[in-house]
Amino acid sequence: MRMLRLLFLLLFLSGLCSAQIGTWTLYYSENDALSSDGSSVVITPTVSISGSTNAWCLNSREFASYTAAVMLNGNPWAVGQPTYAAGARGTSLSYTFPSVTVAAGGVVDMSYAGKVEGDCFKFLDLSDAISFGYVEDAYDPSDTFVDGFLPDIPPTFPCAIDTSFYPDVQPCSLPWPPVWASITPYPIYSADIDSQQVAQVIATPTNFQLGPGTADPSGNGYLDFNSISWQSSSGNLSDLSACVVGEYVTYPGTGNFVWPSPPYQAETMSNPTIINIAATEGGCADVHSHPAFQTPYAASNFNSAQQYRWSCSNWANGQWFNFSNYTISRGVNQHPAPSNAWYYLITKAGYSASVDPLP
Amino acid sequence: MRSVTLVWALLMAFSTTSSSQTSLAGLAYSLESDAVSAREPVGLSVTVSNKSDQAIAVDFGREGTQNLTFSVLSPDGSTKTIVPPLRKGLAPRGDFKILPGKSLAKHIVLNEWFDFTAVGQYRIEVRLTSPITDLQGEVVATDPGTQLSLDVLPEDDSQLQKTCARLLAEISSSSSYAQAEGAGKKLAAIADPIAVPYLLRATSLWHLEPITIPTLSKIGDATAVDALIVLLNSKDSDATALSRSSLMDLKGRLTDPSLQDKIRGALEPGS
Repeated sequence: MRMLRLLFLLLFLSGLCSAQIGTWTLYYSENDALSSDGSSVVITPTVSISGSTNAWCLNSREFASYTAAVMLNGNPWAVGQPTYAAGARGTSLSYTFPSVTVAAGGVVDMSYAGKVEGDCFKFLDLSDAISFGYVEDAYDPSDTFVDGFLPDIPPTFPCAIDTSFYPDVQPCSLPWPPVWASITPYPIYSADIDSQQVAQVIATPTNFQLGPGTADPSGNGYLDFNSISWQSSSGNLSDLSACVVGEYVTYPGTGNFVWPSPPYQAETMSNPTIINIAATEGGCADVHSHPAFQTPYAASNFNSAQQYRWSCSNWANGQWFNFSNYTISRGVNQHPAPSNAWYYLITKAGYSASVDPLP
Repeated sequence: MRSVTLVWALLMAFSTTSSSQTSLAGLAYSLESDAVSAREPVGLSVTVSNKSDQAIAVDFGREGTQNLTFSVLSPDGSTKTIVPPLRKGLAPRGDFKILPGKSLAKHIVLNEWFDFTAVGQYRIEVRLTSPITDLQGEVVATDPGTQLSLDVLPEDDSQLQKTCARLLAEISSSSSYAQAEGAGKKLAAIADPIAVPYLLRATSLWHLEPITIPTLSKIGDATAVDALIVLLNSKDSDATALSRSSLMDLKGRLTDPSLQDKIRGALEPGS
């Protein structure tokens, strides 16, 4: 990436040219601005125009006249005024706009109002490469900077000033002739300035639905949730290719969980039990089973804590976000006399399955 | 190794209420390699192609395998037939809709259910037990079953290492979780000490902890214990929790006193 040691100033020709040029930056912190459920991010765009001190040939009045009107998703968003120390030579201008919350999967299109392809600019100093108009995507560093938009401009313009157009412009210290440069529309320039896609926020899983639980028709006491579903915040499940949806289930105690025996056969479960599946599936099933029963039966009741969650490797450093928590309750108990029969009951989210009586 | 499609199993007529219109659905099985060295993963690809002008539905069952039956004739003449057992918990439903002109490919690792360590030729029979239907439930095609042939060559540590390295590279460069998971399952099928460093590195990628850590536990030698201890002390909370669970399991399972002491020291530092 080239350093932004760019030495330029632009003037716009009213009626003929209406142009602003600068370094466009969208800043947002993926950690600080992320909502707690990971569904949105708050961004605060800043537009800045940068240059080195001795290159600016306009005084403060000229700088102060700059405004940046920003269109957000095609609608007027805000007009920013530059921060500028009066009387000082300009080194940079920056415009900070109101924060906006962008849903995961959303796109912010930001553009300068009034900027059209083919606008011409007047540069007072073109002795260095000009870089501007870039889009920062915090999640894809390779996209963060696009430079060299104007590599074909002859590099022979050291400094230029047109005092006739701007009579209060202070002359440059170097006796360079005034030069006007017209920017030839450039494909990448056109794409990044005229139609800025400033932020493509990564798609994430959303709208998790547990769906109903049903008892396995075989009567084995399995509780089956067969229509668990979720969606992509972009509306397209294939956008979730970097995401997983999973469960994190903890059983009583620490370390592996051994089913109490009797009334169950002593099967060992990993504690926690963690399962992940591709979020592009858009849904899954979850069956809550149990080991075979073992006599002589004994009363046993325990809960396991289940968390449905999601993570995207391209979002918030891959951290886990919670969808929903459930308690899975299992019990083997005895009916009161005179039945005295043993039965198994599992419940979750108001749904249940049973084996009654136990064999 | 080259990928060889061994059998195109099915190419059946698609009948609709409009008898003048005929289209096709195709179901193909192929082994990802027709020869592997012992201990290497054996991958099976299943491709369903919709050659009709209507969407079709295919249901592989829970976990994408419950509606498949496998039968393997081993070199010693024994045959094992299974429907893959249903695991507890969360699982893909395995049902898919395929649009006209599109196809769907599934990749299955067979080592989870079959032992391919004996050298020789294996005959693998696979069949989708549920019919392919249109979206109204009318049967489009049924699968009569397919036989595939696999040659298992003598153990080759060098080849196994190359396979591990290739799979780890595939995981690292995956563009999606599904791709990483597929390679991760193949790597996890290699329950051999050679795979330990690769499993360790893969664990930190793409949330593959639930896939790789059980294999480290299954390997259970000194290198695997060391790897699990590294994961126990990692910043990845899932890796920490699962490695703790595995080490506790190994502590009760291993008979080597030095390994037991090492595990005890890791689980109970300062004790």
